This record gives sequence, structure tokens and C-alpha cells, in this order.
Amino acid sequence: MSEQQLVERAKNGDTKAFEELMKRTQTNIYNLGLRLLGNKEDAADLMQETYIKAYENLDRFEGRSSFSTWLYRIATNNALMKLRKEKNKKVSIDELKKFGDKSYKIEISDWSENPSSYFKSAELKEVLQKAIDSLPPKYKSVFILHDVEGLPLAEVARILSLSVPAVKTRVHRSRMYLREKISEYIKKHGN
Amino acid sequence: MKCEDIEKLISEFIDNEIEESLRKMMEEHLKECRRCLSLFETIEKTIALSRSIYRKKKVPKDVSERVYYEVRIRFKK
Repeated sequence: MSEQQLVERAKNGDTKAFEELMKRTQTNIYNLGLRLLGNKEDAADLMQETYIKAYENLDRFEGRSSFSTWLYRIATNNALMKLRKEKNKKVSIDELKKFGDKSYKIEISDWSENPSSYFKSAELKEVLQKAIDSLPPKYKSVFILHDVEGLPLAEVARILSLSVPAVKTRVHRSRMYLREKISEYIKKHGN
Repeated sequence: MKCEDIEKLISEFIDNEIEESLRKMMEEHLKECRRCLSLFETIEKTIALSRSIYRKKKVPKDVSERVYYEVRIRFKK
């Protein structure tokens, strides 16, 4: 049965149809929670809140986007509220805005040829994880949805109620910032 | 095309959001400019590395059961 048919049935009170929708989407929603919030407990809470909200607001779902996109939207908005309460130090928006500023000279160290084993280093991954977690929520959410989840720019824009150019700008600045953090690490630790 | 143009457009280039004529100009520049090629390659590695730290996980059984239980309570209301 298609997602659309299941949604119609669920709207008419078929709880089994709603459970089937949960079954089909739960891995994506749980992983989105893990990626945005960083731990199992918060990801589980986010998953629960998302499905409860989706069930309670099913009548408002008009089918202009897919059900999955609508769920992502509920989950991401809930996650953003949690992320904004986080106390860990974030990189400032001004720091990110320098990417794209003509007066800022990007230092390009070439580490693209480093052996692949280098990139399996747990320490490097930790550095990158910390850098992603230090992105302001509105950058982190865009980066995770587009570059990690692999959602198209237009879908990310729909999920976050942003314009496509705004999503592109945030993706670009996030990538440049994270690339710079990896460069700093490699420079410090040698090739 | 200047290096600063490449810096500005590199993400759109990676996302295939660049119109064909501009794309060709960028490709030409990347063939000639080691610095910009490094920028392109290191951004691609940054994305690949980011993906590798977030491998997809199965929903733990206890989490799944708890969520279904909480949603089913709402069914009865």
C-alpha cells in the first residue's frame, strides 16, 4: 500500500495504517534525532514527540509534501528547540559569514592526498564531530539534512521553511568551516 | 574566472546546481589551478568524512516499543 493510501486510512481512524507509517519511517526519524541531538535518549524522545504530534495533527496534513517530509519537518523543528537550549559553545554566525567575504583569504592546505587510513583516525573524527556540534542550530540542521541525510536542497528548504538560496548559503559556510577545522587539525598533527 | 569566484561557487558546483556554461568554465579553472582543485577535493573529503561518522543505526527494540506504546495510548483517546 502506498504512503498516501496509508495516510488516508490513518486520517479515517485506521490505527494500523498509522502504525505501518511509523514502521516505514522510524529508522529515518530515529537517526535524524541521533545526528541532530547526539544521544540515544534524546533521539528516542524526539521520535516519540514526532509521532505523537503527527498523529494529533494528521487532519492538518494536506499532502502538499510527502508524509516523510512532513515528519522530518516536525522532528527537525522539535530538535531545533532542544538544540537552542544547549549550553555548549557555538561558533558565532559572524565567524561563519567570513566564508564568502571577499576580504577573507582562505588558507588552502592540500590534504586531499593523505592516505585513506588517516581519515579512519578516531581523533580526527572526534574533532569533526565537535566542530559539527559547535555549529549554530540553524546551520547544523541544514548541514545534517543535506550533507549527511542526503536530502535535496529544495526539500531541506521546505522542511525548514527557508528559501533555497538561504539553504545553499548555510550549506556552503558549514562545509567551509568544517573543512577549515580539519585543516587545522592536520596542520597541527603533520601529514 | 578568478579563484575567488570558485570559492564562492564551489558548493553549488559540488551540488550540481551550476548552469552548464558556468560549470565548464569552473572545470577549466580547476584543471589549471592546484589551489582551487585542493579546495574542491578537501570539501568533498569533509562531506565524506562527516557521512562516515553518522552511520545509520537500527532503532533499539526498547525505544521502538516505548514509542509505539506512547502513541497507542493516544489512539484510545
